[in-house]
Amino acid sequence: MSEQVRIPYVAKDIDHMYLNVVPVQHRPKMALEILGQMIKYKRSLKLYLDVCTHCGACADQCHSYLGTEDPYNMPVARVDLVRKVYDKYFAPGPSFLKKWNGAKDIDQETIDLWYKYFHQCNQCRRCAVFCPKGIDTAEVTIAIRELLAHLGLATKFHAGITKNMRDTGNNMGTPLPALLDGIEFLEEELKEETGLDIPIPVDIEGAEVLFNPSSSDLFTNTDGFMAVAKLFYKAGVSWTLSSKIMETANFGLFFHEPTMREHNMRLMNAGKELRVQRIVAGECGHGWRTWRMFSDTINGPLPFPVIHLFEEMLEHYKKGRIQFDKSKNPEVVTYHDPCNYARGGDLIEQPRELLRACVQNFVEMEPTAQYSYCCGGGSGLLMDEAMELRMALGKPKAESVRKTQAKILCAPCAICKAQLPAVMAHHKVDVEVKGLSDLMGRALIL
Amino acid sequence: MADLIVNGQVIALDEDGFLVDASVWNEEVALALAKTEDVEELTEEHWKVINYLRDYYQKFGVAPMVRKLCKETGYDLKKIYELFPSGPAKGACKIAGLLKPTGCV
Amino acid sequence: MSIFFGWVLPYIVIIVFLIGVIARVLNWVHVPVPFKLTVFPSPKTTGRAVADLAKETVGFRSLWRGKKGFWFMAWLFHFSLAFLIIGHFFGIVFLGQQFTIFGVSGEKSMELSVFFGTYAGAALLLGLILLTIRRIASPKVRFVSSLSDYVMLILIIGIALSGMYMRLFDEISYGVVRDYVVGLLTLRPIQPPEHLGFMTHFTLVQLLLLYFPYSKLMHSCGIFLSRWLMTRPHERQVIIK
Repeated sequence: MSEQVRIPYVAKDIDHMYLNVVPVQHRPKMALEILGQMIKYKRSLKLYLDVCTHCGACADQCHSYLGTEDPYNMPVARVDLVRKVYDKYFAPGPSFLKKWNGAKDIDQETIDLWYKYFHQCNQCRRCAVFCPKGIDTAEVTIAIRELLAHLGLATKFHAGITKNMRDTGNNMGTPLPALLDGIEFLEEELKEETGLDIPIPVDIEGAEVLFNPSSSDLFTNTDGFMAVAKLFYKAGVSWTLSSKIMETANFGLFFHEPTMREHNMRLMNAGKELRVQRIVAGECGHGWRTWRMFSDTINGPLPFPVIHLFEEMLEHYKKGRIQFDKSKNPEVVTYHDPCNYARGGDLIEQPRELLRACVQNFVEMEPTAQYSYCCGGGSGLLMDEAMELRMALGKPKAESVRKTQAKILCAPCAICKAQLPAVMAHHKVDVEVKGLSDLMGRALIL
Repeated sequence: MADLIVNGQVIALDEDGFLVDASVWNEEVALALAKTEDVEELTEEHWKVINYLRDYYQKFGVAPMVRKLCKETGYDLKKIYELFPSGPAKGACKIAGLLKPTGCV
Repeated sequence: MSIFFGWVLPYIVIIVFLIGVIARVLNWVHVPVPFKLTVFPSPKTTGRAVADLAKETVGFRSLWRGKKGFWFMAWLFHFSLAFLIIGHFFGIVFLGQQFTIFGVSGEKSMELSVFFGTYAGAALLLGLILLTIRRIASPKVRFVSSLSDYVMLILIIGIALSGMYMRLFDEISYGVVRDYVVGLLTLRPIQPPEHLGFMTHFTLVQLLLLYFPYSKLMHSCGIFLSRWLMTRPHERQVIIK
């Protein structure tokens, strides 16, 4: 299979990630080397390759299998693509037993299958909830995507974003003058809308809070971003953005660990430099999971709390500093649990409390919370060339939303906001996608 | 994606159908790109959006935020989708010869 | 022949099994866990995390959340297996008299022992047959099944069948078995029993134990480690100066 026809497209430019395109004939050998190293330092990968009993309980629970109906998208089958190679070269035991396990050689076809199917897993971890052994396929997907990146098989979409991140401190590649121009515009819009001088501060040393938005909050999701400015204003909290890095979304998390670490360290350093008392993370799934679960491994003990926007606002709401007028959100609203908030980020109750405070008619969908289906865009599967796949991945979610008959789908994650409108339109579910900040901003009594 | 031929010149496109070299853009290239986006002709309304985008891009090296685009052209998002079916980021930016916006969009 | 299956093989099996299982567990334990992999919602104290582990290993909670039919098959199989293994231990060691501590007579205890063993054996067979049918009939499960999955089922069914054969058609006295096993364990092996049913059963078990460390049966040990990765409580780290 030539590189050109892979979906998603393969990146040609990966120098900035300190990666090389490995010549095709050397890839199988290199893949084995990397796999051999990974099972020595990732217990999750090693265990999950060893303890699976092929019971298939995961199959009916994976939105990827349910949506695409491709048997390789059953979590057990997807990991088996690696397990069969692992069995041949790394598992203990006599070789006739390994043959019985289906152990096979690694070849170009295997690598092609890895590229294909590990870009059909959204790393949503729903399988881990239903697997008796707790096998988290996302860990395998993360490892194999990293392995593929080291072979020179990173996706164009992901590599391009990490390049933007390195060059400008945000995933969209928006240079600082453009960001500042946009911020100035939003301040004008805020004045026009509310009559108040609500600031969007940048680089204020000694502010209480460093806020990390997703860069799409400054491009498409500006309603949510303006709402954040209003919320901080009303709560009386001094806050700031950092001109050095305006992106909480961590794309390295799902395919390249060094990038994940670097991004998180940059964010931490921005907070330290501005001498803030805490960092507040905005509406972004992978960024939140990295903060909540990975950043103390990356940075060591944190010098200040890192909390989510919802935790921050819930605190202000409980203390009475901000109040909401529910009648401003009269429509039926349902809530989509981003995978990295619910299963990955311990943020299940907080957004619900805020929703109940600021909307009149909140209905839960089925399944919900930790059992919720992924939107289908998780782990950065937002590339245009994979649109057909993305719509299939979003099918179970579309059906969940359809049954609620809600008018508004609250999805407080930048990837979900990019994926869900297309999914809902494609599956003909008449619903509008909004972030939680948007809804809070609408109802906030200024 | 196949390259465009405009006035006998080969205009290189990347896999997403965006211009590889932003400097080759002109009105005829815009029309050719528009056809790939199922926009049969570029009316004055189209040009208002395209010119604003190019202007901003020249100044800031990037596409403007959608809200600003709507405010400055006076067209709401619905109207932009009518003019450019793929939307402001993927449709209008492509025809205006900008780079493809990437990230969580 | 019976010397090989009755004397030589058991010692090979004990060594391979013990060393194999211990080596695999040590191997897992020596691989680090770089990042916290909690799947939320998750218990906040170690005590509750251990309780979660127990709920899973005893009640198969994760399967209960999915298809209840499969939960039933898997749970029936594992529960009766556990019951039988414990029952073999107490039955053989105490020669069927284990229930006398509850105040029943020796005869009654033997009756109970036979009763429980028979029905547990039947339940085990039922579970195994259901699981085998599922593995063969479901296209999804068939897709991911390899030869070892089928071999494992056949092996355990063979063990269950030979056990039931002894129970229903050709009993062997507990005392004979106890003497033989004790002889092996104390390194003073006696003549293996001249009993086809028993030697078949015993040999199949030995083959299973030889196979064990290199098979998916290691999930019996691994499950605790793999679930701990997602359940282990971590304090949310914040340093306030």
